[in-house]
Amino acid sequence: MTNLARTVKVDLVSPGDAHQIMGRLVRFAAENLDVDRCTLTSLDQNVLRVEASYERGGEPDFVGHEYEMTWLERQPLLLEAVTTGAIVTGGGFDNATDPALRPALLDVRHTAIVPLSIGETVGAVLILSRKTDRPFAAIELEGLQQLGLLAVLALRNARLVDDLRTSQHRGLDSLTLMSRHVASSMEPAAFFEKMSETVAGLAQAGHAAFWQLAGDELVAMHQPADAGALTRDMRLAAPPPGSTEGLSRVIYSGQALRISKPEADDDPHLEAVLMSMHATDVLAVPWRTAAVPLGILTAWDSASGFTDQDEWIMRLAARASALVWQGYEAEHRAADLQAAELDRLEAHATRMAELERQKTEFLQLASHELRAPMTLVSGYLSMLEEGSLGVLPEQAARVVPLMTARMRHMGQLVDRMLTTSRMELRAGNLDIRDVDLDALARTVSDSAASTVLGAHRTLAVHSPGHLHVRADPEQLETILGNLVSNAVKYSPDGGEIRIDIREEAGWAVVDVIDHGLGIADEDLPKLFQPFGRLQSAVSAGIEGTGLGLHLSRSLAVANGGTIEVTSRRGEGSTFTLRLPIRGARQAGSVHA
Amino acid sequence: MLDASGEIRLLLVDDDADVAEMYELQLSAHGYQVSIARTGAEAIDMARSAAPHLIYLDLGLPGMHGFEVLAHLRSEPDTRDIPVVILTNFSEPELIERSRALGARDYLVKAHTPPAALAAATRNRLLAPKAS
Repeated sequence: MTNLARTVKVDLVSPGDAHQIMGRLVRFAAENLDVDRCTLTSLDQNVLRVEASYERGGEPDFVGHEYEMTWLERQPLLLEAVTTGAIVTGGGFDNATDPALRPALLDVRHTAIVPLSIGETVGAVLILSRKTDRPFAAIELEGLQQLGLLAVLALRNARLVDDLRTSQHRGLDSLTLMSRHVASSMEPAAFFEKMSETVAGLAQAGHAAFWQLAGDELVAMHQPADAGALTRDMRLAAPPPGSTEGLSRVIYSGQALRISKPEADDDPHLEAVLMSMHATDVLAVPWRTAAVPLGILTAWDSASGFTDQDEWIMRLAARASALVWQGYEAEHRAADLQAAELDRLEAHATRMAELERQKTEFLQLASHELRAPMTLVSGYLSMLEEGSLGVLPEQAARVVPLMTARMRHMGQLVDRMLTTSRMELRAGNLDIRDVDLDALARTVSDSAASTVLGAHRTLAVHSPGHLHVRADPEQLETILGNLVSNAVKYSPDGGEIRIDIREEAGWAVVDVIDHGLGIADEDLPKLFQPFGRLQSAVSAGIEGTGLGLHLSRSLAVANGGTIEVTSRRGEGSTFTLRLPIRGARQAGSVHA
Repeated sequence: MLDASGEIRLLLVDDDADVAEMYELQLSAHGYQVSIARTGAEAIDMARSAAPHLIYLDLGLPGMHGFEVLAHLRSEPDTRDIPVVILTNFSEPELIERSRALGARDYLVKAHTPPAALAAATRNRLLAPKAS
């Protein structure tokens, strides 16, 4: 035996050359035992396969040939050796069954069958035959059984290595296919359909599907292609958590469930699952995130029974799909939140715009309606004053100018309200041009000098003479006019008013400075509010509408700028208008 | 422009009867022959029949807007050449621009136009009528 083993040089480790070993073994045995034929035939569940053969004076024959197990039953010697596991010797074979075998089996007079057992199962047999009349002696065959066993182990080893290699390839293929789906950013429905198709292909199953847990039901995520009777109802009953039913353990305990017809016969729950899926067998694995059960992934109607490897592939697919699902969910939630926030903002903006429009319309209409009675009253007052309606008694003639003055003020108030509402309506629709601030300040200054300034005040413009901004000229004129008119009003006792223009870090800055009454600290917050008339102004008898500064600030903001104020009671105020000078043409010359 | 009698006829179109009457009072005192129309349709009829020398036209009229009246007057040979001055309490720049485009000679805001000012404007535009 030792010699035999050494001579044959059995290699149990290297994959791939098991057949070479077995070939050498049968040749060695045939030559040493002086036999005419020797074959090594493996047995598994379904077939007998010739793994190696020796033919005296000929080439190895029949290698790779397979025979159904039923063939065994017609060969009593072979059957006995396989069932008992003991060496059997005898006469010839029945050579009537296979015409191809007939020449090989012809004239065989003695046969020896050496069963090679791994554990309790006979995994292969060595079949030796002699055409000469020389029966096999037990001693000849002893060592052969152990040597043959080594060869069979080598074969099994080689097969395991092959299986492993196939598994590796399959695993890699699975990963590649799955990651392709995962990376494809498909719509959820398309993703789960593709993933299921892939799983069905990899597990060699008729169908595969993801089932989402919804209350006490599992609802199919998609319609598997050609799902047969299942298309009628894509729902399965989902047993509650803690139930002993197989599906409950899949959903909630992370176990896999493999059911085939014979197993299901004894278990009504499993049978129900098979029945409801109209399947011959089912492999179900959990589909869940780390924390939350989502449902199950199933494959059914396998080609040749589900294996551990199929389970591994399906778990992998379910895990990847859970991650994808989480991604969809997160995206969905984010999109929902974003949409809700956008809706809210839009509704708010619409509401504000509508309120603004209503306010403006109301102001316009109100102003217009106010003008009608004023026209009549002022008109008749002027006629009374001019004497067109006859001579007035002395006392009446004295009050008419008072009424005229008040009506004029009211007229101004209405005009200002109209201007304000018109400007506010226009604020979103600017007529942007290049504005020369120096020229603008001088226009405003000239206009004030001829109207409101009065002899006891002076108005000076200090300007570098070359500052330009991009803005709506009409609106800028309104702003600056308001600021100057404000400064005039707050300087009842006269004094100097100044418009200072300068550049400061990308901004054009216009200061309107007066040395008048100033504004009390408590009045400052009201300054820019509509109708925000100041207590100090009212008590000082300063006329105003309470709209000028509100309008000025709105217009400044609409033109990309700001208005701020610094003031001291009794010392005067400085209103500062800032406008961006970005994009404006700057003149090189200095104003004379 | 004036006919033989030296009479100057004005047509005042305003739905506010009080205001119309006030202006009429002043203009009549200055010797103008003033007719008053309350609606656009009336204004067109009277412009055809009375052949006024000048029309003061309000914009916010019931039924037919002042601009429609103006366009209508401009489209008819009989009234095409009668000068029209808008006299209204609306003062939006868009309206002023539009009325110019439609051929109005001037645009007066009632609240800023006391009766004496209207009489002066009329005198400047036409001639003073012969003293009656």
